[in-house]
Amino acid sequence: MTDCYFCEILKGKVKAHKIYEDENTVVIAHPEPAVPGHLLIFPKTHHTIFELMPDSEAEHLFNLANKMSMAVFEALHAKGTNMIVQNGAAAGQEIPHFAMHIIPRNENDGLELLWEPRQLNEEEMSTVELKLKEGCKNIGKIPVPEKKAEAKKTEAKEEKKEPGKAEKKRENYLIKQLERMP
Amino acid sequence: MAEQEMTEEQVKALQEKLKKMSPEELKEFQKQQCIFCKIAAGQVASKKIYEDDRCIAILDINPANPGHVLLMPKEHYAIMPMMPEELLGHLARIAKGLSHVLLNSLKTEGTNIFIANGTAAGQRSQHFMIHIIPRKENDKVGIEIVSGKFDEKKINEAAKAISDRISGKELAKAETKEEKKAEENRKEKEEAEEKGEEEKKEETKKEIGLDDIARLFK
Ligand SMILES: [Zn+2]
Ligand SMILES: [Zn+2]
Repeated sequence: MTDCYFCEILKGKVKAHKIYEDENTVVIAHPEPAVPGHLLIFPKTHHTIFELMPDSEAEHLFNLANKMSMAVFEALHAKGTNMIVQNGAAAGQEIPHFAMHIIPRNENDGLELLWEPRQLNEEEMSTVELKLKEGCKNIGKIPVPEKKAEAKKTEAKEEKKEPGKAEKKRENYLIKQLERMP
Repeated sequence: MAEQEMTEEQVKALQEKLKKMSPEELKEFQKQQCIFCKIAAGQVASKKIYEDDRCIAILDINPANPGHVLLMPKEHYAIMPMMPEELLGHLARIAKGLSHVLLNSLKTEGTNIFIANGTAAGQRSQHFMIHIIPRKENDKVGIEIVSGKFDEKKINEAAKAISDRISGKELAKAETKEEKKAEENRKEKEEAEEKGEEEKKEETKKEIGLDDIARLFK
């Protein structure tokens, strides 16, 4: 992974304006932002795309993103935020390391991030619906690439923070495991 | 979704009415108005592709691309900050699963996960949702993040303001020794401020809710 910009940052080879860091995740200020306050959140582990990320990391990253977004609201008095993942080169991904953008928004800020809504005919919609319905049957049943050791580490960390919460987390973890059973 | 046009007076009257409501009444009012709550409850037809006890995923009727999915909690939350952590975590997991399904079943080359918080960010529905949009090379879907031209100083100021905001809060649990020391120094000051801070938090929470609804109706 020599060419990965985010991994280079983690190794300290490239300078970045770090906003926040914990055991699994880093938040930096985008070096070439769409607007000032534009943040990037990425996992410390090099996962190229979303699908390769373990559930626990995805859950943590989304919750952290939510907190970062709130901080952007409060610190910059933003009127809104966008959270965007570019998953795959066709979706605009430039660095082969999963990341989420958090972009502060204001009325008339000149950013254009919205798409042109399309109108599909009934047949097109139904075809897509059928295909996806079929595919979605596997959601929750796909084995997740979660290492046991990693899961334990997270639990231990939770315990340190708040005993009550850890209890709840463990329950959820059990439920998760149950859900994974076919 | 179709936007309802309201006169200035109607908006004002509504805002007045909303202000007098308790948080419970407000949520109930939102639910009654919300098409996505009706979809989640099965009272309005939709192209539903996934459902579990906590969330539902449907096809957007005006998609950016065929296979544009809207993932939302069944419970009504107007904006992301109102959602419990566990539920948001669940949505993250399902969003990942849905993205995987789009790649597999539609042979797309990528996906965008898109979330808008607030109308200024393009939020159009009163019910929090995550867009999962299949992408192909040169499909001309306009989700492009273009770097702007800004003063280095302005960029650093914004970043610092966010850093300060975060480190002043619980969120920044110091990990390294250095940070721990700084944290300890900060703690005393924080403790003094905590009470006021908490009250403020309560206030902003309510404000976001009211503001948000008001803006959505405009
Ligand atoms: Zn990397
Ligand atoms: Zn709703």
